[in-house]
Amino acid sequence: MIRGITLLWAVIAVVLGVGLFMLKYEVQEQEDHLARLNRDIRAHQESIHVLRAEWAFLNDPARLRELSQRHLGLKPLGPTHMLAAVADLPMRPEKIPEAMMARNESDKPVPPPKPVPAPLSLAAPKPVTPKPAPAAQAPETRQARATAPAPQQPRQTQPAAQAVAKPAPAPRPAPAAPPVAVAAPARPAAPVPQPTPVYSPQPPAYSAPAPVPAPVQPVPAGDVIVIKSPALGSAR
Amino acid sequence: MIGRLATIIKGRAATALAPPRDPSRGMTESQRAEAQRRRAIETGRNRLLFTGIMFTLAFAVIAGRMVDLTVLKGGETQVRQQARMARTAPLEMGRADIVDRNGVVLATSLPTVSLYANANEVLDPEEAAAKLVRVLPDLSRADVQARLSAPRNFVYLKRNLTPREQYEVNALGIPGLYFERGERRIYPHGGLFSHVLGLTDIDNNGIAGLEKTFDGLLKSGTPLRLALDARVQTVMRNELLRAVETFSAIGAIGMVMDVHTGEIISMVSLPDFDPNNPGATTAENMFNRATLGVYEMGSTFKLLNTAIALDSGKSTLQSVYDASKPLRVARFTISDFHGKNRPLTVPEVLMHSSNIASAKMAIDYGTETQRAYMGALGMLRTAAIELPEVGSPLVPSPWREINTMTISYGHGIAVTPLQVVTGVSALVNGGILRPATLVKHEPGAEPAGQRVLKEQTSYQMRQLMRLTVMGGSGSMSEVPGYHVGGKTGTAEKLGAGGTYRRKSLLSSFIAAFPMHDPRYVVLAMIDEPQGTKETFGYATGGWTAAPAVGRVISQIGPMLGVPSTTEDQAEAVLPIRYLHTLTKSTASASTE
Repeated sequence: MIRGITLLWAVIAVVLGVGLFMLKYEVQEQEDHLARLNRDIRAHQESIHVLRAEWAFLNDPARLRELSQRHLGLKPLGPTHMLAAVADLPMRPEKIPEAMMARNESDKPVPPPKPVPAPLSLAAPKPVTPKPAPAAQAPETRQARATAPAPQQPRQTQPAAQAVAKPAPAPRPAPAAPPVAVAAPARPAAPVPQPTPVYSPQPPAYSAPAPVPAPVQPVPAGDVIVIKSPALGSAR
Repeated sequence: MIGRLATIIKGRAATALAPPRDPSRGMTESQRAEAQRRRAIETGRNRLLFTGIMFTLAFAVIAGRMVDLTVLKGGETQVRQQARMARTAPLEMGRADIVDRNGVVLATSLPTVSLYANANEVLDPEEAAAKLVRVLPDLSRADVQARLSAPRNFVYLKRNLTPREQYEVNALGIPGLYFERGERRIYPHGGLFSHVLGLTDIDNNGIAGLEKTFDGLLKSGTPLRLALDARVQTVMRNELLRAVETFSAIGAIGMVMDVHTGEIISMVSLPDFDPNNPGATTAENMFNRATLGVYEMGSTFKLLNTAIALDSGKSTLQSVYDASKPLRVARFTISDFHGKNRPLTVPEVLMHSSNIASAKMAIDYGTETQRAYMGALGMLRTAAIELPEVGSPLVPSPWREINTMTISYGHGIAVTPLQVVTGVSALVNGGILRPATLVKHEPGAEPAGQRVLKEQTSYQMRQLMRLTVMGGSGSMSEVPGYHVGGKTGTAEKLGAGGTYRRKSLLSSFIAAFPMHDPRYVVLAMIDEPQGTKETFGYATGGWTAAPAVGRVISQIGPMLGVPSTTEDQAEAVLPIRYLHTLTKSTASASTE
């Protein structure tokens, strides 16, 4: 009886001892972990502090302005843009596409990058799906106004082409290069209407490699960008 | 165990209660031996009892404490305190940041390491120096060797190592070299705020500018938020640099002040210096012209003069002063730079910047009035601003009538540009003078200020400043979209001999916008500009400083959210009845 109790006590003591031992080690480990975390936090705080200084350095207004001029082509707000009340907003102009295109051309020294191909595929099918003739007849629709120079009014084609053409020649490399790139996706549309007389008024526009006619191809490009603009979307 | 103790205690209690017997009386030998044995047992029992009680008490204390800790949570506060100690202390640099009004960091302290040596522990100074110089090429080998050979425990070898340098030095494994963690003051914007922020020395004590003024605050770890705006400051500095370059000037000053709070939004003094590299600067570059320099301001003072004349009631906008011929007083002659040589109304006096008529206005209201108003407008006392570098104005003493006359057009009194900006702010904000400050006010905590002019006078001054830009000498500051009002000034600087030098000018322009409800006053001063072909050789304020101010306003207005002036608002500050005076003068940007 006495022995049994003693044994029980001994077992309990050993179990408790081992348990305490393990607990102690676990606590020690946790403390190491805590210290490590604290060290890391400290290091990160220091990094944040240094990065804040670097952030301030990189955000130097003069540098930002220079970068924005080089990469964004945006202009700072001018005094005349600071309208105090909504009522001071001018009414929406009647002819947005022209206005927008003109602005695009004058403000952006760099041609719009390459949103061209994707939208083109959107615009291209239009003339394709209907027969060639309807394509030509669609001048009254919005796309046609700017896109496909209405065949009936070759006059209008010319200015439009020139207006949009300007951005294209900007990347001065051999005149062939940019048009080719742009033209490629447009090709599918081109062959279809070929038999029609649509393009006959301006044969040089197609065949001649002269720099002026070549940009005719980008017309859809410029147009597509305008189509994508929210202003036009709502005007639909 | 406790049970056993209990039996012992019980047994002892029984023994203790037994009646005492005298052990020695009438006992046999065996009885005596028996008694002796009993005594021994009793002693043992007593000792056992004592020990038992001690153990019981100890266990009772432990048990009580355990109950306290687990059931009663008596130790909770203490535990919690310990838990708090285990948390990471927030990073605190020895010197707090300085930020602009939008929170952009203007000055901060970065952790760095410095390399020092315990020269006594360095085994081979020669070899150590050779190795070190290979890693840190900007150190001189002879110098390092000399330092390492000296019998000293602490010698600095290099401060502020880059992490890479630290790694390389560490990799050399030279005994006796140690790194010391420290920090270094960094100004991310370089020279943009040089004069305002000032400098710290190598031990991070502020020695100039705001670093000096707020040394204690910054060291206590409180960040400082300034009223300055980094964007506006950049615009101002760029335009001043451009003007300095265009007109081959030797320096320039620019300031923008919020007229409703007295906050300085921008303060630039050129030439400036890079506070990150203070060793490379000169005393000339360190000089803060905006607050420390005192200058005869020239015609910009005519604004104050006119305001005094109108506010004192001696003149009205219809008063006419004859400026047809130079004014002779004693041995002085007051003449106009580009005189109209005819009688001028008060608006015309300002538009054409007539010295003669201004002097006559001053005579009208008198010396005492002038002194009182100049004092109220803060021209006669040192400006109160948080910079240690503040110049005291040079005021005539005694103040004679001839001083009154010259002061009317800004000569014979020298003040800091800061004072002029503060004074003109009071002129246009409704007549309330507020002290200039570089520290941002909490919204709603703007100082009440002190009324120095009637509201009506302030309104008239706004009209006159607008007229000066529309048809007078300040026309080149016109900004489409905002209605700017201002006044040019062109002072000849005093030469070494105390005479005015015709060719060294201090050309300035002070403007406020938008004129129907001014929010900001903008000052630009160009020191010794030279005329160019584009300005037809003129180096006056209207040709040099006014265009710079116009460009500054057109850029900072949208930044600061100032709405464009509408037609109605423009009408409000320009009554038609003055328009007739514009007819002849609009084309010629007449200067003073």
